[in-house]
Amino acid sequence: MPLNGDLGAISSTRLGHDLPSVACQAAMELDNLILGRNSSLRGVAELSNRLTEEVPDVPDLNSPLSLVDPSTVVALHGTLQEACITGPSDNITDLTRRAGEIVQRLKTVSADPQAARSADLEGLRKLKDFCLILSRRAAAASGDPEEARPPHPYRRQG
Amino acid sequence: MALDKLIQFFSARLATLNSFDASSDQGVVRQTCALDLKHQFTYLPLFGFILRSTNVRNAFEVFRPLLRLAGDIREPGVAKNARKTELVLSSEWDYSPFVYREMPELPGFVMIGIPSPESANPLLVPLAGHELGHSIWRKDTPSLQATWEPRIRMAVIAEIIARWAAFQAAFNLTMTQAQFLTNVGTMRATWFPSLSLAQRQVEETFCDFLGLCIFGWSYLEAFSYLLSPGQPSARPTTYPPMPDRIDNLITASGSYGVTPSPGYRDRFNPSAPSPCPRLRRCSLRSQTPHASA
Repeated sequence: MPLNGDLGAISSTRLGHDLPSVACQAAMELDNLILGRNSSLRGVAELSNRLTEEVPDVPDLNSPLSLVDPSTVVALHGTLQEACITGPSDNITDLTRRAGEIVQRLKTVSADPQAARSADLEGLRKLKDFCLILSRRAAAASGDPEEARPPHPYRRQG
Repeated sequence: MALDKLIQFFSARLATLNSFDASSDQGVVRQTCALDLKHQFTYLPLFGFILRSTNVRNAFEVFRPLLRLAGDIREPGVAKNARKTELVLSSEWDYSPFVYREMPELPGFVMIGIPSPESANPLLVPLAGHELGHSIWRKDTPSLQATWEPRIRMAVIAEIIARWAAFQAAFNLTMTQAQFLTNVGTMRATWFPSLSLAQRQVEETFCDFLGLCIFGWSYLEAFSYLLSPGQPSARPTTYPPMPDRIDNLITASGSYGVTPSPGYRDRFNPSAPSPCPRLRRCSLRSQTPHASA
């Protein structure tokens, strides 16, 4: 049984099912930073924390380490390929290594946004694109494999 | 309170949308709009659910006991006056009870829907035990979901390895087992749906066990009242097949000191219809009838 904790405030934010929103928020914050607008980067920091937790450094997919929400791994894999951040590798160790690099970049930006903007504007744009693609991929991967309950036989959704 | 939180949430979303201008990245704008559209689909039914919670058709007399129970389960050891669990008990013209699981914007809220036509039926109360299970499955860190995830994943992989030749043929794979174990692309393309379904089935099994643990014999009778003999059409594969659910409940009854009524298993069909062809490929159902996890 789960132990008592800060009810709810932690649970939802630490799980991957709302990753699309967090990644999109991070993309928006990075866009604001690129445009020179003052904006909090809490979403960027939260995304780096989430990826750290949900994509642990596992040696293989049979690892007893929890992936928390495996759909995050699936979404991240597609994102890295679409964003051309990595070569066409399907290997889990490559994935976790790349995830670690992304996390580090997100942390660097959230720790000192203006320094990051001055140092590498193009890098910020790539990071924003990564967050945006991750949001899209995570939204696509988070759907149920099947509807929770069968639809009413005579009801059709618009 | 739930309505207040939803109003806060949508006000914040509106502020975000209003902050965009012509210089904003159009991809970010579009994705934000897409997610907010999804939020409309996700949260709008909740407004109706909350509205119906005030309907006099609801069994208000069970509200306090269910709230106490939800608090006992979600916050064991916390003084009653310090608990943060909130319960919304509502109704729907739906055949079976249901729950809105841990909504991201409504942390701490347990939202249980009871079928309106059965509002006077006390057998609906034990079934709420199952719905409470859903509300704690994802709660806390590590959650039950995160704790069980590796065991479920390894069980799925073991099942694939045990039938490696059939798996290779089904998905036209040429890789070795060692390559398979490190390949995320194959996971994504082939067995991720099986893993997702297995996780959902384990969650449902946990919820059955929690209902049984809390309500004992009453849960078995309520389950039978509502669901026997089982539906004639293909089952939703997010649930274990009904015969497996019954076998699991009977097995767990032994652990909980519950004695099922004589002939309990016979109230249900001995076999379940096969899942639809689209999902048959994802089925890793082994020869052993009981949930091994």
